[in-house]
Amino acid sequence: MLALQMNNVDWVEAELEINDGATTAQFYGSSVRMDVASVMDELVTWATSTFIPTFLWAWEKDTSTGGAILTLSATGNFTLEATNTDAQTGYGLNSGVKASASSHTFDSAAAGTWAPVSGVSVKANLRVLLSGDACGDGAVRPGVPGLAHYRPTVEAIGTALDAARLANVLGDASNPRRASICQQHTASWIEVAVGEVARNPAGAKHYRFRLEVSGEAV
Amino acid sequence: MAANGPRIMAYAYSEGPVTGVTADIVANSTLAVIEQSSPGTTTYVRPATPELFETQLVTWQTHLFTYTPAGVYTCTYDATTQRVTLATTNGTGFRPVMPGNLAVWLGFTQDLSSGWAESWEGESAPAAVAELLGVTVEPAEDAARVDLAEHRHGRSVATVWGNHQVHRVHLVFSRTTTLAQIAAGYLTTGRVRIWQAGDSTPYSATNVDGYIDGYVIAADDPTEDGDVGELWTLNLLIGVAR
Amino acid sequence: MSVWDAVRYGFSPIYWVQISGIPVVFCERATGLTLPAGWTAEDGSLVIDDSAEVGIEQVDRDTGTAVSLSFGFKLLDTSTVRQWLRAPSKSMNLTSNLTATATTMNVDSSTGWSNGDAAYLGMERITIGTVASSTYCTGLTRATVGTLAFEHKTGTTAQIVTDRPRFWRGREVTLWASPADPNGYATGTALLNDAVQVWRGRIDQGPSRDVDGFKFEASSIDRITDRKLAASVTGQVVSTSAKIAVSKGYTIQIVLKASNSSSGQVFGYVFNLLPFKNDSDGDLLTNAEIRDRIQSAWDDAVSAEGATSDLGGFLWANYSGEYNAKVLVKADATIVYFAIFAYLDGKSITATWLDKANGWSTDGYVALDWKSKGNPLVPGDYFEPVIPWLITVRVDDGNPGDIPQKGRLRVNVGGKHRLFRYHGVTANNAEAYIKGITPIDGTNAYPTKTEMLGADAEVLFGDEGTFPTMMLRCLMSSGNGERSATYDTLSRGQGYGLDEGVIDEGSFTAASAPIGSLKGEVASGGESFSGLFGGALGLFRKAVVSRPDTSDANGALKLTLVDTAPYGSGWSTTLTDTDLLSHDGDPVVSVKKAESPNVLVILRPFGGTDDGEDRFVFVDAPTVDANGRDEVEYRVPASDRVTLYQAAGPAAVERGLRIPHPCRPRWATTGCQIAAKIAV
Repeated sequence: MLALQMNNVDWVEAELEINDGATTAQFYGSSVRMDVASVMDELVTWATSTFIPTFLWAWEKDTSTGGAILTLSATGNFTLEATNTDAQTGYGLNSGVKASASSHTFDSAAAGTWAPVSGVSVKANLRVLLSGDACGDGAVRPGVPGLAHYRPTVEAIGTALDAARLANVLGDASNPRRASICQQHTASWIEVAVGEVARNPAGAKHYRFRLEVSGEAV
Repeated sequence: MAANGPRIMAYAYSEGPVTGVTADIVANSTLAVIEQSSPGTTTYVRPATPELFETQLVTWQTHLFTYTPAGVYTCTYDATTQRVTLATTNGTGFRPVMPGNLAVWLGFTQDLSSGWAESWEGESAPAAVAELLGVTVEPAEDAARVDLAEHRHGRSVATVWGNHQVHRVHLVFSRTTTLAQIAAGYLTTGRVRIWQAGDSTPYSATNVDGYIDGYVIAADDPTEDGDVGELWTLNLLIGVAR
Repeated sequence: MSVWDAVRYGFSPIYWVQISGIPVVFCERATGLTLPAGWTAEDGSLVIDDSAEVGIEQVDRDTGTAVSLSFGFKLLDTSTVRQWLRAPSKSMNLTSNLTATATTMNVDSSTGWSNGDAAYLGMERITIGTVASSTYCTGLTRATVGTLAFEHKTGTTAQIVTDRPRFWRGREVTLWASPADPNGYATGTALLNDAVQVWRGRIDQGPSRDVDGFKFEASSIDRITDRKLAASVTGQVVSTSAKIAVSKGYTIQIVLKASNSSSGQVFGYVFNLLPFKNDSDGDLLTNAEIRDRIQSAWDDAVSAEGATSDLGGFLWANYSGEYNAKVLVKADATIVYFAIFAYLDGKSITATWLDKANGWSTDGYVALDWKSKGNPLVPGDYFEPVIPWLITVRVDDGNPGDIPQKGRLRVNVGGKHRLFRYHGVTANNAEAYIKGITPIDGTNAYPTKTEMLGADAEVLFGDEGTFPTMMLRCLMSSGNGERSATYDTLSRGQGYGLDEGVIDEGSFTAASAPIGSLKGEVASGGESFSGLFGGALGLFRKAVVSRPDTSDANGALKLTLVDTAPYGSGWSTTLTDTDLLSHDGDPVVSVKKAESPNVLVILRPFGGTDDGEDRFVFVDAPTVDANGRDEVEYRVPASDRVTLYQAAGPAAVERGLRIPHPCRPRWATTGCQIAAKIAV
């Protein structure tokens, strides 16, 4: 799944209210422009320390839009409410309080998310060798942590719906363009700067996507 | 007038006024009629702003009703026969007048200098619309200028600027029925609307087979395919503002 | 709404060009539409594909002028183009000067010319109504096909009348865009119906032959402000005496009677002296020369009447600078009484009676009651000029008739340039008699007459008034008064002779203080508009640029005075995503930060010349300490030091600004023109 930083959601303003039966508290993001994955990580950390239960988040593909629908779960019951538009758009939640439960699946795809049919493949997330005079990168050798940026290969295969979703979220991406991509086989999130996106037909009904990304985004 | 099949339709440029003989840039904006009962009066009507061909027909119809002496008019396009018909529904005889380049736009290439009738049908297919054999409309691509800069010590910045999306469109059409309209130029420049097939709702990220409405940014030359040159194809790049 | 709005719907512009004097519309594709009045043919031979980008102008804020590229166009080698580029086949010469409004002309031979022919004189095109005789043409229609009326003088190349233009350089070019729909249909019934004026200028170079046609380069109408105006009139001081203009037929009648003791007439004569019969009307003569002429006219009259037995010569006796007329009467003892009446130009001026009781026994002079210190023709004239300077300059370059009545005069006295103001000129043939001379170069002392005699003199054509008025006069003056009733008032060579239709006068006259009310004086000889006014424009943050006139149906381009200050009363338009082109290239490009000087030097030239100046310096000391000295200099030809100082103070403000450079499509709102303040 790709979670892009969007410019149409202000995460500092977006308010998510949780009540675990004992405490009611509101969560706000730490900076205005964030991607949903980072927000959920912060949310989970905050919620676990604020409330009694331990919280976790997950995502799954939304087949009707090509985005990702989030799920917030905990070891106890809690209510959840996105109280303002930024939160509703950002998290993909309708207005109103969600009745107390131990797991809430959000209502629609979160802002900036993209989950194509094949999943987003992130390969070879390594620092690259560069050349140049007095280049600090030039000192890098494989296996030695160095100063060059990461250059993973990010590809995916998706349907026309996935293609349309990607174009849509890219249109509202923040500038500079940053995203978190989930590398499923390591279960880790990689923060990258997203460059050109190439799309080519793959078979009669699918498209192959190749994203030019570069790690350690500023 | 929703498409039964794939089609491309153009917008007509018009800047008003809605009636009167004097107007600027009259090429395909203005329709005029002379009614049999008042042969000395020519009524000119046009939309106040640029409009899609099918909307323009409705606008003309409304204005003709308001500004002509007697008639109640219908302006219709038949997708099956690919002809435009101008008619009155209250028995008023009239004759249409084609100012500017309207004859090409509507397909009224016949001689209109005399005669009265309650219904007139264009002799040729209008250059404003083309029924296609097929069309492929790729989902939107974000047409942004991206600059991914990578600097020493691992820092990367992707700056991006864009204000529209593009669709790559591939048209397939028949020489005998459609090539002349494509070649006329209205459908491959300016603003157009392309229906993919059957779906008369607009395109969106969740409705990828809807119609797209945008500006032709680029077009290549029509290409002849097939053994007997019956099948022609054309690629367009359509830009849609975000 | 114009062709540029229609471009989004697939329309494209057909560009066409009008060249003043050539009655052919050159267009990219022949349209068959009705042509503008005066133009008779259309030729699809215009090629503009290789031109530099025009219409994209930037303003040089420090000189108040636009900086724009040349428009390059080519006319393909068609038979129509060849027709107009060929050498003339008919020509004739003027035999007398042709004023700017005359409708008849005298020529040396009109053989071969017919009624209704078009004739080219210099930059002007004239239609000959009737060839009345072999040397006379009448019914002239002046300034046809977009040309302007000029004065044409014999003795110059402007006297040659031809049937084809002799040169293309200098002709005004107007570039228009008319819409054609996606099908190629050109809209409207007349070319001008839907046309938008895109660019206007004058041909600089061309025609030059290219592979398939003829190339031209033209520079924008606002670049004309860089052209130097005609040089001043130069000459040498040949006389420092007062002069009077005389007329050929001036008559002095002297009636002289001598009587005897019984009141009988001894002799009586009536002499009609024509002292100036050998001069021309308007000739300037000094007092001494007039006295000499009267003297010799008397001698001629006396001998013509055969009165030499009774009378002798005429004498001007000088008593401390006062001259007294006397006539010699030969001895005749019978004469006891003289009565002498002198009528100058029909007016009785002197009457003299003299009794000589003992008879006129010896030859002697009779003093007439005709005395003058100055002009002998004005007896009793004690004209002692308060300002003793009345000089005559023999002109060696330029026409003394063009010298304006008031202006500045620079004389090289003893190796040093002295600057004077003068008030009053009489020009005659090659001489200019200049009066009312006052020094204005900071000293009040006059040079001596000896120093002035023989000195090199230069008349600096000048103007004075408020800055906007001076600028308008500089732009419109042609010397013949035809360009504008209000502003075409200066002599030929002092202005660019632009027609008032090319100038947005309202923008100049509505200019606010300080530039709108500051008074200045300039000397235009050898200077350009930007040289004269650029300092004031730069200091007060104004510029003169070519801008469409939104009240004109075709958006005609006019020279407009615009405000270039980055601050002001709000922006005129906002550019948003929908206005900016972005499919290829960056739609908004930030340019280098404009210079922000911290030392402002303002020079006020004396009399508008280079010979000396006042200097004010405004220093922003803290910025100088921090950044070092960064100086800018403006020359502002204000007439008064104090008002300039007061006006310049507020203008010396922080001038740092960064100017984004938007790529604006032509369909953006009309408020977005050159020098407009916009919000992005």
